[in-house]
Amino acid sequence: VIPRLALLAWALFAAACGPRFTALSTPPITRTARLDTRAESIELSTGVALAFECHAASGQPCIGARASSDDPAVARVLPAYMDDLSERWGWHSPAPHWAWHGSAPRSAFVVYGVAPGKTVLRVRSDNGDEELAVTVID
Amino acid sequence: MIRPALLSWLLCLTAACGTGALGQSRTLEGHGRAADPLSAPLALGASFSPEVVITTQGSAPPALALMSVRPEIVTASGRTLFAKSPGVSAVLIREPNGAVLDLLHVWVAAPTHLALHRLGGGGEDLGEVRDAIDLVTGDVILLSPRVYAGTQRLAGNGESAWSVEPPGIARILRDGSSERRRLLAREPGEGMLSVRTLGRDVKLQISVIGAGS
Repeated sequence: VIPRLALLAWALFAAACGPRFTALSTPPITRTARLDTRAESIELSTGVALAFECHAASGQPCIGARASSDDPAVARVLPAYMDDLSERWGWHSPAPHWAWHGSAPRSAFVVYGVAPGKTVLRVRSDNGDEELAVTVID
Repeated sequence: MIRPALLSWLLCLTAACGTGALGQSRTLEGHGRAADPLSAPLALGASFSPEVVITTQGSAPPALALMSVRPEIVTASGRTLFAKSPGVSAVLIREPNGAVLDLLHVWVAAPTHLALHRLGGGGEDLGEVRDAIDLVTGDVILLSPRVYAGTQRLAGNGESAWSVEPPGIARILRDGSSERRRLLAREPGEGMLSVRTLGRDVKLQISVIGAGS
């Protein structure tokens, strides 16, 4: 019974969670471009760009995702095209089991620092909405 | 069974996947067989017209544009980047007003010295000319200025000014490329070749002897 309750709790948690984000690019030498998945924050040097991927809590690529910046004078965000499919496995219930979710086009964005300051990126998708706190340093 | 996306990822681990941060493009310096990936800062004041090769599979790219995220460092106009001030800026390769296909961080550095390189007939680099050049009247050699920051050769081209003193001993001929000149030995004598580009100078002593000497 306990494992089933845990699985049910996990399923409810996953359903309630918004999108998750993963960095796809590295910063240039001596500059910063860091996405902290746990803290849902991004730190960028001015003039540096970071590509990141949006996926649902289940691991599937986000569907219908779009992003905006509260303050484009600090950081801006653009959609990105990835010539790649996302391979995802997910945990299914009831009758818990791992299953292959299939290949799907990835959902990605590029954010870049315009000037030092703080702003918020808002990502909206069919999988839910999420915010990323962005800090741009010199 | 290996899925196609996993196979593509494995191939990227074992082969060059491009110079863009997303591995979907190569930004080449030069064209055709002589093209090399951009692997150095742009020289301050220089322009750079890269050949951007998109490496997506199954689809040729749409019309693309270069976009600098920090125009005070690098500006993008058409297919050319202009190095405005030292620093770093991401350059996005994107559909005009559309999605980003790849990105490249471009550095700009001030040149610290200028060297003249001699080129072969096919444009191959024969190395830096460090000493005086002896020529026989009628000789033609191909020269190209190269700017450096420390030991690193910088990318990009700038306007260059060439002169020979006294002007009678040799003539400087353009060959259709902004970064190359032909030096034609005309009359016997001693002189000095001067070249200035991107704020740096280089001088080389030249000596021309008659064909029958």
